Amino acid sequence: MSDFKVGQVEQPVNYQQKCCCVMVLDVSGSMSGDPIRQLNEGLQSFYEEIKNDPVSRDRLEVAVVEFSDKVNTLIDPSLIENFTMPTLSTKGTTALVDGVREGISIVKARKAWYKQTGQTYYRPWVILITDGAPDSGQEIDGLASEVRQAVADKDFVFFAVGVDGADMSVLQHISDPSMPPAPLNGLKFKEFFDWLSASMSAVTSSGDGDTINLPSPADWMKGFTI
Amino acid sequence: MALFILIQSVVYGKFPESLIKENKELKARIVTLERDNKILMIGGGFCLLLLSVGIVYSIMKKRQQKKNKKRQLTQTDSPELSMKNLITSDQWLVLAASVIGKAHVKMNLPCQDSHYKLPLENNWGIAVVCDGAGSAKNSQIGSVFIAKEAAPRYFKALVEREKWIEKKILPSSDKWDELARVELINCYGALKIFAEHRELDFSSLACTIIAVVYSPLGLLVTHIGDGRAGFKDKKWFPAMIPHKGEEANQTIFLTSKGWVNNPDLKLSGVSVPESRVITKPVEAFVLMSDGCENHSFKCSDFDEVNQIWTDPNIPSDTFFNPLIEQMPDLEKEVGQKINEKWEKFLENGLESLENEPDDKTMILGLKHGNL
Repeated sequence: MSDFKVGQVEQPVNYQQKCCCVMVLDVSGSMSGDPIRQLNEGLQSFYEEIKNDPVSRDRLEVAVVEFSDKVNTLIDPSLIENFTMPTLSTKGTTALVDGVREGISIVKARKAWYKQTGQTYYRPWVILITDGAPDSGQEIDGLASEVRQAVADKDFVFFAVGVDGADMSVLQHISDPSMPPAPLNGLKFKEFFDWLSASMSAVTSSGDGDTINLPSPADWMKGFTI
Repeated sequence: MALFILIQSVVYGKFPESLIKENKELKARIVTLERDNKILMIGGGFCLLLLSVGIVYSIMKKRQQKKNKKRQLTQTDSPELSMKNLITSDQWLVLAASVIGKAHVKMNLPCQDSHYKLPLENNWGIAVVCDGAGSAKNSQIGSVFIAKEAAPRYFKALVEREKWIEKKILPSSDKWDELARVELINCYGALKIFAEHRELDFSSLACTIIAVVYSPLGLLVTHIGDGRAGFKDKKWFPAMIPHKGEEANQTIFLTSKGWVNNPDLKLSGVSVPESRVITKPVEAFVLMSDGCENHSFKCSDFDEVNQIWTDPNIPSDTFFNPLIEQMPDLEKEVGQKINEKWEKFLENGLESLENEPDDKTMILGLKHGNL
């Protein structure tokens, strides 16, 4: 029995709505050795997952910011096909607040550009991964109120992940209660990035803006209980 | 006398005493006759009994069949079965299917889309598409209730009450605006009662709705939420503008606060609800949930002059025409199974449809004889 013949069916070419995800990554001295190696592997794995997802690869724009005592934007918001994932190396101390601020300014600029050019977009994400405490002189309180206000205004989603040794109370302070920080279980970066690529896939497929059904973080989060 | 004796013998099963007193032979014969009579009486009585039982059984069975038929007519799963023509009224060939999206499968979510088509008389009919809110816990229940129960009943009642079919007219734009709004409010009210009855949080049933009344005179369209609708009059044109929020996945729902009490409410510059009367010679029509829009509508275009993206909202001729061109011959070949073929097409007929993360629903109607 015949099916509908599709040989003559031509689909319109449409712009795919974008989602900007900025990764703010701690490359301070304490990340040397296993932590930075596992982080790099996790980043590569994330890159490959997104590349192989036919929806996310057209929708997800990734930016990478590394911070030690200086802040450095390695990748501006780009679709996967337009960049290769860099390999990070460790140096210096932990200008955490400066790093997150850079991440926030990237999503704000990207969102403004989407609006200016009439592009539809999903709420952007700022993801912080750190293993330590911020340098003294880093203004935590100011950052905390900025993040909470932005989350309340639905400007972006903020998510902090603490690697072994991270000061979780600082991360708790700067995070919005709707999305508390999560401790990474050991050095399960690959598992975290698998979850992140699945979550980004869920975000870029989501049906309405308020809550997204994210996959369970049980694989990578320490002490996760349902 | 003989007649009297005959009557006596039949009624009483025996002969009068006086006549049988002296004649032994007669007596013997009478005894035999009486015995035979008794047998006949018993036999006859038994037959009468069987006949009565048979009649009673037949009456009861007919009543049961009537009851079953009535029960089938009120089943919500397949009310189309109650209509003579499953797919077609005389003039329209209407295909409809809802298919779960890839992301819903991955995330263990149900299909939150629902649809319904209801042919009426004289080539009129009703088509409804609902899309449950992704984040709302019971939105698939809301979507089914509105698409299959509330909306078809209310809009059918409206068409009948207004006697449009009899009078062969469509309402004016202003009138349709007013009437459609009332019926959507009725749908809202029915869903509220349903929520209370089932002890479900009303907002957990959130869904969008697109309702179309199709006819030989044109279309009546009304909607709250996103998705798309279009029609063909030599070329394809849009029949509505979706309600879109600031973010890509934001829209408004039938359950959303604000639209019921605020007739001036707009979202992305579009009235909520948005209603349209299309009095063109409609050759075909389509309505869909937003999971199908990127595949079949031109939803984005780059304006080089102003360096800005726009949403032209045009149904794609090159997508729809090759499909509607096949419909009459395919229906001749596979009959009622054409709807299964449609469902299969939405599921994986094209690579992009197969990869679509969102649920997909599309109702496509073609006027017979139009290509």
